[in-house]
Amino acid sequence: MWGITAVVGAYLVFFLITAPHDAFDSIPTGITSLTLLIYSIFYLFERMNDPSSLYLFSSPVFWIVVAIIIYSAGTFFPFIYAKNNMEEADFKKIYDLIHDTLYIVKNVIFSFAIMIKTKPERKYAGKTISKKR
Amino acid sequence: MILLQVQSTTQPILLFGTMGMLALAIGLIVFIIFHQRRVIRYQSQLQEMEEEQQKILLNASIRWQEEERQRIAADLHDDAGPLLATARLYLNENLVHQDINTQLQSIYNAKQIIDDTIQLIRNISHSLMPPTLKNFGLESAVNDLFQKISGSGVVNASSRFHDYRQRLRPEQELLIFRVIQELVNNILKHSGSSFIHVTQNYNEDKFFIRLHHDGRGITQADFERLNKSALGLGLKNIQSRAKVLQAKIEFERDPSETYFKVTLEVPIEDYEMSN
Repeated sequence: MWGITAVVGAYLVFFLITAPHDAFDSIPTGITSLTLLIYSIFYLFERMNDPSSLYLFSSPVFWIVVAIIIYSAGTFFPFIYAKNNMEEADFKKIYDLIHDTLYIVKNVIFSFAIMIKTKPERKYAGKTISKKR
Repeated sequence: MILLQVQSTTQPILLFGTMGMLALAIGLIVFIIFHQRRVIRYQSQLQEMEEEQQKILLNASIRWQEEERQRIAADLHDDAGPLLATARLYLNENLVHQDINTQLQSIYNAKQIIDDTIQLIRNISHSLMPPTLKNFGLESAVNDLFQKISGSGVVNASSRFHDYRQRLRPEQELLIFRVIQELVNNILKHSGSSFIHVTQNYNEDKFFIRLHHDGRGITQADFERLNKSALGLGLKNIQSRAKVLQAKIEFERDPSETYFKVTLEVPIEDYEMSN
């Protein structure tokens, strides 16, 4: 995992220095989306296998990760194609529709996550879990 | 509609790719939520079963204590009480008005009765805490018990302790001894076996007691079933004692189906083999 972070970080820094600034940066944006997806899925599977986190969906972090997954998965293809097609009006319409919708969805889920209060943990069947909502 | 306006080859890929990615992402999230719900339900069931089992064991323990108290009360009331009352009769106030021979006879009789009472109380005390176990350890107590059983001539009981060079903590020894006693008691009552053999070993921080017999026995499935039912008070006592010892108990039948085996596995970390 640290290896992926280091490689992606190094590539993004390299791209930031060398790339022209007059077009949409599809490749770094796509890579960022993929990296976020991989990390988020990895996080969710780690939490799934952790017996201490039974009530996963009562945790704000879970909803933040869900928002990131939905936004990154939904915007991956628009970002990949944006560099070469942003000039086309039809593409721009679809891009805006997908991106803006997912942006709103992401922010709504973020708001929901912020509003969730972390429940105090309690002992349950020999394990520590969050209190049932 | 925007979808109808799509004409280039890029845009269907974009739309379907996005929908596919979103479907995968949402599917993953739904899967995780459902999986979590299933785990929660399983945990709740597990907790309920554990609570039920605890309740059964606690009830068994209380019942066993009550039965033990009743037995001691009955022994004291039915045996010690009349003996002491008889001794009191011999030593009543009229004794001083009687002749010397009658007095001596009465005193002698009272002494005999008091000796019997002492022996009776000693027996009750020994049944609560065997002196051999207290003074000489588990091996001697088991040997003592088995000598008494073999003495009857009906069952051949023997034991062999391979790695018992250091005594365990007294409470551990008493619990292990009670488990062996209960197992042997069950074998004598229900199995109709001709031999009982107990072996002891120590391996990888675990103290093993293995008991073999050739009569009718039970398997692990029977043990668990009886533990959950209202029957089998003795088995529940074994289970609760094993729980206090943090031990595992396993009932099995050997592959040749000639004898049954019970293994008690007690974790003991500070046991020194060199002593």
